[in-house]
Amino acid sequence: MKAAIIVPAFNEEATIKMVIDELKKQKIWGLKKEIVVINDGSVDSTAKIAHRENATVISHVINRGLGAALSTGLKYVKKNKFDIAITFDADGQHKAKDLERLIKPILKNKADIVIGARQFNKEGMPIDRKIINTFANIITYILFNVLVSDSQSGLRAFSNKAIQLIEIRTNRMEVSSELLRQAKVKKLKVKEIPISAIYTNYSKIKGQKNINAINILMKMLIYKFNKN
Amino acid sequence: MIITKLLISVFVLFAISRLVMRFREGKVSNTGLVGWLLIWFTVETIILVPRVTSDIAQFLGIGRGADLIIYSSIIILFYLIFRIFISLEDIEREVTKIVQRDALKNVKKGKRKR
Repeated sequence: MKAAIIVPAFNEEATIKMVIDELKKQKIWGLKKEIVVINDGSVDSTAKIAHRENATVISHVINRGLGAALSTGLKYVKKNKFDIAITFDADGQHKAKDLERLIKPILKNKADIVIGARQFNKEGMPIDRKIINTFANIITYILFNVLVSDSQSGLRAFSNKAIQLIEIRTNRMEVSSELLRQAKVKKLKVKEIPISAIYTNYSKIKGQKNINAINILMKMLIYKFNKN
Repeated sequence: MIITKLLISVFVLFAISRLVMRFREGKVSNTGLVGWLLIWFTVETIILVPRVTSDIAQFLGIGRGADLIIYSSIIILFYLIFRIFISLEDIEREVTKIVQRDALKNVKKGKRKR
């Protein structure tokens, strides 16, 4: 079995080396793994560093957003017949040691999509993020009827079945909710496992801007009522 | 006032003639033709019999004909913005497809196998 770790990256030269290093060192149940950095139109040396670090690099000529980057990654994974795909943020907020626990439900055939849910404790998540995340979860539930505790998490794993069935259509940050919607429509089993997230100032700046929540809501509404 | 009515009527006639021409060329669909004809006939009616707006406004409980026009304009504008939003999304998706096709053609593999 082989697993692909998709790392969408947009101007992440400060952290990409550290993230790849950590992923390279991490064993995942003895699976063969490939680190696939999706360089989403970065203007810094993200792609160069990733290539030097021996990762597979797929570059978008212009920035197309998180959704597009993940979609490119999943297309690569599908084409190259990987058994498992993992998405991992490039800003250093995830810990590679969570990966084994993350894909365990897939290996045991208990889930098609596993979401690494960041913990809602004091150290886990800043208060503003907590509020927006709760709001996002409620909206995701109302619109798509999928209830998860962290609908916006960037750490996810997909089984081969999910890789084959999921088709991402959204370009930007609203992809997190789009994935859950697709899971629902295509009857994929979704499971959450708790993970630790490291909120540094860097990841806060690089992550979703709070104001972006309104934009995501607007697009989710449009997808809900416009597309199937 | 008469001159304005005349000018706008001429313009409406011109627009309708262009519309029919485009329809004959097959560039406007049946629904498109009916929709646009309705719009232009409404404009012409309002120009020739402005009282109509007041009557409809009264009927709808809005009060003044001018208010009715403003309200319906806002609704139409919102609808158009929504349409533009949707078509922009479509264009964005098309751009992404092109970018992805290019990206997947130029995959740079890592040097060593792990």
